[in-house]
Amino acid sequence: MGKRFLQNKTAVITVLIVLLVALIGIFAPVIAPNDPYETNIINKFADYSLEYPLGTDQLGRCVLSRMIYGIRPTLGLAILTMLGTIGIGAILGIMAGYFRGIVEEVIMRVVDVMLSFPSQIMVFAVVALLGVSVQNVIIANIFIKWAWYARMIRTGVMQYRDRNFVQFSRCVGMPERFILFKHLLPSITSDLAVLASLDVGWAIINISTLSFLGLGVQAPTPEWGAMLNEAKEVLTSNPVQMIAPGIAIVALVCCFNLMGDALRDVLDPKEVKQ
Amino acid sequence: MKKRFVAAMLAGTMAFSMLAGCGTSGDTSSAGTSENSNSELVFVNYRDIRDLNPHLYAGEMYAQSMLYDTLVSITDDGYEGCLAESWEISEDGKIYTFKIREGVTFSDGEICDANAILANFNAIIANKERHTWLEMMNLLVGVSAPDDYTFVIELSEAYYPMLTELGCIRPFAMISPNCMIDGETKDGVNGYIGTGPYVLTDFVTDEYAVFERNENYWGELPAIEKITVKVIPDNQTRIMALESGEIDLIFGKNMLDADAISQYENSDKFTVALSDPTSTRHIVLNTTNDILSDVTIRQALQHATDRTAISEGIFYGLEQPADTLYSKTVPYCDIGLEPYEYDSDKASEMLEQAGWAMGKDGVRYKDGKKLELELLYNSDSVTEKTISEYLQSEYAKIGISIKIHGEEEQSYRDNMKAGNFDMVFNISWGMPYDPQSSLSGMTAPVYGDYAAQQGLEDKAEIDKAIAEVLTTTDETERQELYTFVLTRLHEDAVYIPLTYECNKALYTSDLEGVHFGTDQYDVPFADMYFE
Repeated sequence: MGKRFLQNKTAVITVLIVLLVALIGIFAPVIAPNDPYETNIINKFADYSLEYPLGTDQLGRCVLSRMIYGIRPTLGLAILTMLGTIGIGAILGIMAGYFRGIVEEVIMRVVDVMLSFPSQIMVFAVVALLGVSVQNVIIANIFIKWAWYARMIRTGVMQYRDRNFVQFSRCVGMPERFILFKHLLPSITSDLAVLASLDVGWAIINISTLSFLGLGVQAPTPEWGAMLNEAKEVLTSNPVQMIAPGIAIVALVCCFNLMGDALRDVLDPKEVKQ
Repeated sequence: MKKRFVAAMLAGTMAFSMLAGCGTSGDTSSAGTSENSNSELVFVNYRDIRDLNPHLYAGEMYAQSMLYDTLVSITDDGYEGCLAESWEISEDGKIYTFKIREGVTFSDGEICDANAILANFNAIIANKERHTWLEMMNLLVGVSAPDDYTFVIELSEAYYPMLTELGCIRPFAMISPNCMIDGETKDGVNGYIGTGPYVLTDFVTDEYAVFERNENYWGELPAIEKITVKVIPDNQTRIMALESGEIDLIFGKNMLDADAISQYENSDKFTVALSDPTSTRHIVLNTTNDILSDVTIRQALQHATDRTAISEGIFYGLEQPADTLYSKTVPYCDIGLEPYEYDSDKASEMLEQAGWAMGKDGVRYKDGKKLELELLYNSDSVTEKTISEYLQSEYAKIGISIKIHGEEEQSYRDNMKAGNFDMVFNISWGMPYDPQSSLSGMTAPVYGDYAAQQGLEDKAEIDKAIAEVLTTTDETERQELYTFVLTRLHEDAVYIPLTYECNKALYTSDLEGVHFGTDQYDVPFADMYFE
């Protein structure tokens, strides 16, 4: 599999980019040229320069430094959301797929109910209900999105539950927990990996959207969506302000989506045979 | 893989074109109307006209002023007759006798004589509690109409701002008695019929309102025959709409930011106009808050505020830094108060003395309590958020943590009135309301002032002086009382003055006659015309 991974250029490049972005975010204090919170109101909307490589924003803060620090909430919260949704989705999906019967009925009907609402509207509703804060945005996203994963994972599990190795395990009396975690979970790992990388892309967009609308990350924390929101206020007078956060979001989300596709190619054995 | 990439690019392009379409979409029908007709004006506002009942405070004031007239009007040179042709004031200043203009009709045909005006006054007085900011309500003995064209108001004491209050856009504006419900207006009206230069002909809530010229108007007919007011809440969308010719005029204090104005300063297609300072942009500190009840903290905040930087940095000098709650040009307010100069070291020192020591996280603590305050701003205003963020970073430097919180206009006002804030943006009321009406408004829950001042030890004393100042007839005594009130409020440091706001207008250069009225909330459409 390692060889197949290296042969797939998209996979290699996208994974490298994502890792690079993550590293930049982790080492933000070392890399950022300026303090992202340091305002200098007289020097607002400055042009690109050596001191401020991407110029300054409406309060004279260094845009590049804010972009770099912004990786932390943007990517960090997205990964947190992804772990939450995949976690809940995987557990319930495996249970529904393996146990069938009443367990499946209950879980899948709940999933149907959740999926019958448009997700964005539901996120707004939950945020409105719980109040505006980062924590609630994460909760809302997890709450809305798990159902989708539960359904996908259930389908994956159903393919494996009647395979010989599972039936053998059952015959020799292995506990259910063993079958679930040692047989089924590893079998669907490749599905999970693809879903997870697609989900991060979705989560980044969603969290940025909420911040853009003023419901997510609050000022002065630098977050790409929130930065875009502030840039929107000067759309006609300083359109350049939108470029950095806008391109960054598009690029990172594209990266995750392409990575998802490429990982599926790498992990899917059928792909090689062709 | 290649195909997928192309698809992604295409999707991106589509997203961009959708964005670009936002500015103009949804309005193909009226686009360009402003070009081909020169008696139609398309105006813009950030919110709906709402309830235009002239005796209540929910509607947009510019619209109320278009539809209704008052007894007198306030001009730069003093008072002028409006629905009242002339008036006499008795020697003791208690009885006002108005001679009502003859031949004025409401736009539904009803004659506007002393009886109609009496019906209006009765409707206003029936809702007395709502008008507590008008001191004359407390002094009113009675109103009467001895004949069809004479109207008399009797007060218990002489009251110097009487004509000013009668000349304000609301509540003393006259609506047709046919619109009243059982002779009252406090629970709503069934039509918006006035005697003003325009009539409301059509409106769709949160979309637009159409005003057409009142051809039977008693005064000089305005040149603009039809005014369409569109609702565009977003600043940038408004500017794009102006650029595309969809609207002709943007007018108001919080409708344009300084960046947009400086962008059009040298444009041929569009003209920028700025009024003289109208009112003071300030922050009200809630003295009932645990932390802010200490006057030292409030004074430290004053010293920590760099007004010059706000004026220069955020407004490019369009709005001058404000030293006191009322500008020196406001009547009775040139009393030589010493401004709190910007000195962050002094501010830190004062906080230190008050027992707030710097914690490890860069925020000050006292007895385990964090020095954290919430600043509420109006998210419909184009600059308050920027100022909030600036102050947040400035105050953070001396160890005060500020949480900023924006709400749309109505809920911001509700919160302010209910006192649900630590710090809140506010403006003084401007001419002709300053200082008498806005001070009077501090003695009752009108805006946030009343709630914010509850923690002051000398609140009762201040209120008493405000009540006295309005009824005193002696000029020296009046000045003394004003000096007392303003000095107390200044020393108590309840208000952090920021800048002197001015009215701003940006309009297509074809439009002439744009100027600013004496009342900052009024838009003088009557004088505008197209070249």
